Amino acid sequence: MYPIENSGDLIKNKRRQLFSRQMWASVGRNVFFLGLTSLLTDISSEMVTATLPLYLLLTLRLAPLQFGLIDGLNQGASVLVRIASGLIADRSRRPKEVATAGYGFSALCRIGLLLVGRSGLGISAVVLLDRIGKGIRTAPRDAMIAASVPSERLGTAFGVHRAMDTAGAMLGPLLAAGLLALTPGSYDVVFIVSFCFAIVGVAVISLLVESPAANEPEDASPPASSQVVFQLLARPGFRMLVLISSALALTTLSDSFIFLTLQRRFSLSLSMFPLLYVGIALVYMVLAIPVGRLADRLGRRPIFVAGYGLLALVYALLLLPNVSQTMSLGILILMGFYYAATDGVLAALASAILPEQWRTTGLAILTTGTSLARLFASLGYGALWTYLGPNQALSFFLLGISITLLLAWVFLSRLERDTNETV
Amino acid sequence: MKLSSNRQGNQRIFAWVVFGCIALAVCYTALVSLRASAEADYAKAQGQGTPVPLAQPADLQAFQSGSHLVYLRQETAPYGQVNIAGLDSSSPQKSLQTELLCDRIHYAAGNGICLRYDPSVSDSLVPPRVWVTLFGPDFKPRHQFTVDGVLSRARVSPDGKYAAFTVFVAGHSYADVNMSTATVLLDAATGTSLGNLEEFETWKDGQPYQAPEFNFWGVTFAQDSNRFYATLKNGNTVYLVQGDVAAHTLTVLHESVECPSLSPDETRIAFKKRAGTRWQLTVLDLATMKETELAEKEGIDDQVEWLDNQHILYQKGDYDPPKWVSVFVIPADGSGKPEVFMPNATSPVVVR
Repeated sequence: MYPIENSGDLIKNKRRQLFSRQMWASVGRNVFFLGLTSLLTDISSEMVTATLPLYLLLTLRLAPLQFGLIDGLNQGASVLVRIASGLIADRSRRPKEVATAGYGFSALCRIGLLLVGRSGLGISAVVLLDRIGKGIRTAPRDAMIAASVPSERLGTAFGVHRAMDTAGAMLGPLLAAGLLALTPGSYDVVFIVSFCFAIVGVAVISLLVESPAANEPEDASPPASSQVVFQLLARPGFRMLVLISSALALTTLSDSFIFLTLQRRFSLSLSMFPLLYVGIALVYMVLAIPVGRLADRLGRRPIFVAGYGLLALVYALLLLPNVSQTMSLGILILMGFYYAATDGVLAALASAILPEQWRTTGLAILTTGTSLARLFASLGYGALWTYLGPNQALSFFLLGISITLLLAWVFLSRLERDTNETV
Repeated sequence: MKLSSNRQGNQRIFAWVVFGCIALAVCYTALVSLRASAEADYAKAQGQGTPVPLAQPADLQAFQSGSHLVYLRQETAPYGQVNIAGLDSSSPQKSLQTELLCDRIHYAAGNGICLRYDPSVSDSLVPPRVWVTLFGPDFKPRHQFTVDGVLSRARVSPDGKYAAFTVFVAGHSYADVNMSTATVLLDAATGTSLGNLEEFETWKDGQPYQAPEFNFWGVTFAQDSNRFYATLKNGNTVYLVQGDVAAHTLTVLHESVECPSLSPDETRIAFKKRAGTRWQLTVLDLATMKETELAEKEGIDDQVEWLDNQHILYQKGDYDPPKWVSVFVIPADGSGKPEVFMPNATSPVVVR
C-alpha cells in the first residue's frame, strides 16, 4: 500500500501497520491528547455559541442587534493577541503553559456568563475574553502538534487534531439542545456543564500533554520581537506561503454566503442552515485524517492546491443555471473535502518550513494573515452582492480564485525547489 | 524513574478532576431537572426581582386621564413589564406597573398591541415563536395568537382602530442580506387580520409596481387611521410608501426611508436612514421633502416615537452599567444632543 524506498521505511511501515488499529498510535499520545483538549474545549464553546442568542433573547430579553456591536472589536483583539502569544511561547520555550493559559481563560468565561447577568458591558467583556483565550492558545497548540511528530507525519498529525476538533464542534450544540430539552429555560445548566467540559480540557493539556523536548537556545540574546517577525517574513519560503495562503483566503467565501446562495436557489428554510453546517463538518471530520495521510504521502502542496481547486469548483457549480438537489449535496461534500485538504495541511506545510525555535510565532503570523484576508473577503463579497448582485459577485470570486490558484501552483512549486525539501 | 512517577501522579490528579467535573455536571443538571416542574420554575424565574405592587384599576384611570408614557421596564426581572408614567406636571409622580410582559409594545386610545417571545420555544434549530397580544385599557389580553420569527415593530393607529406589527420570518435584522419580513395589519378591537402588506396593490410613478422580493416593515398611522406610511424594500433599494387601509393600496413617495414615524402634526416623518453600516436618525419634511439629520451620532435601529412636535424618543444601548438599554430624547430639528429620558426602559409610547 505504501511506496517503499528503503529498508528504513520498510521497518517504519511495519511498525505503523502494527499500530494502525489505534488511529492515534502513528502520531503519538501527545497529538491525541492535544486533539482531546480541542474536542472538549469545542464541545464547551459550541454549547455556549449555540445557546447564547437564545439566552439573551428569551431570558435576558435582549435584542440580538445590540449584541452585534462588539463583533468587530473582538476580531481585532484576537489578531493582536495571537502574535503576542506566539512570541511569548517561543521566547520562553513554554508553548504548553501559554496554550494552557488560553484554554483556562475560556473556561473561566463560562462561569463569567452566569456572574455578569444582564450587564451589557459584562456580556461583551466575557465574549471578548473568550476570543482572546482562543487567540492565545491556537498557535502554541499547533506548534506543539508539529513538535510532537516527525516532519513526514505532520499532515496526519494535524488531520487527527482537526478531526477531533470538528467532532467537538458538532457534539456541543447537540448536547446543549439535549440539556435544554431536559431542563427547559435553564440556561445555567448549559453554562455549568460547558464549564465542566472546559475544565477537563484544561486538565488534559496541563496534566497529560508533555512539553516537547526543548533544544538549548542557539543564541544567548534572542532578537527583538519586531525583528523576529521581519526575519521570519524575510525567509523566501515562508513569505511565499503567507502571501499565497492569504491571497487564497481573500477569494474564499464564508460558509454562510455559500449557504445563502444555495438557499436562494431552493428557497431553503433558514432553519436548514445548522444542518448544512453539520453536513460539512461531518464530511470534514471523516476526511481530515485520510486526506492528511494522503498529503504526507503525495506531498502537501498538491493536496493544498487541490483543496482550493474544489472550492473553485463549488463556485462554478453555484453559478450553473440549474442546481439540482443532488448537486447541492455534492456541494456539501466538496466543501468538507476542501476543509480537510486545506486547514490542517496548511499548518503542516508551514510547520515543515519554519525554524523550530520560532515556529509558534510563524504559525501565528500565518493564521493572522489568512483570517484578516478572510474578513476582507466577507466584507468585499457583501459589498459586491449588494451593488452588483449575487451572480456577478460569485463570478468575480470565481475569476479571483482561478487566477490565485494558478499563481499558487507556480510559486509554491518554486518554493519547493528553493527550499529543496518536501513541503 | 522520575518521569514515569511524575506521569502517574498527573494521571491521578487528572482522574480526580474528571470525577469532580462529572459530579458537578450531573448533580447540577439533576438538581435543576428534579425541581418540582421545570416550567413552573421558569415562570418563577420570570417573576423574580423586587416585588412591585401591580396597578389597581382606579390608579390606571387616574394615569389615563392625562398624557402619559407607556414603556417596558428593563431594570430587573421580569424584564419587559409594562409600566406607565405620567407626562403632565399634574399627573401622579410614581410610575405604575401592569401584569403585562412584552418585548415590544404600542398603545393608543384604549387599544394596545404587545409582542412577546415564547420562552418555551428554545431550540436553536427553529425560529423563535412570538405571542401577539391585543389588549384594552385595563392592560389585560383580549386576543392572542402566535407567529414564528424574530419580532420587530408594533404600532396602533391614534384612534385605536387598527394595529400593525412586523416580524422577521428570515434573517434576524434589517442588515441581513437575506432578511425577509412579514407586516400585518389588524383590527385592534376584534383581532381580525386586515391583510399582509405584500397583498396590497403597490404604485410607483403612476404605474403598478410589483416584484416577488418585496418586503415591508415599520407601519406608522395618520390621525384618520386609514392613511399610513411604511417601508418597502425591493432588491437593494428601500422606499417610503403611503398606504390606504380601506383601498388596500400603497404608493411609493420617497427613497431611503426606513421605519417611518409620523409627527403628531403630520407634517414630518422621523426615520432611520442607512449610512454605511449604521443608521442615522433623520427627519423628512413631507411638504418640501427636505431631510434633516438629527444630532444622534450613534447608529440607531428603532422605529422612533414623537414626544411632541419638537422632540423624539427612541431606545439605545446604554453602556453605563448596570443599564443595558434606555429611552433617549433628542430635538427633532437637528439641534441639541441625546439625553436619557427614561433609564432602563424600551419601547416608549406617548399617549396623549
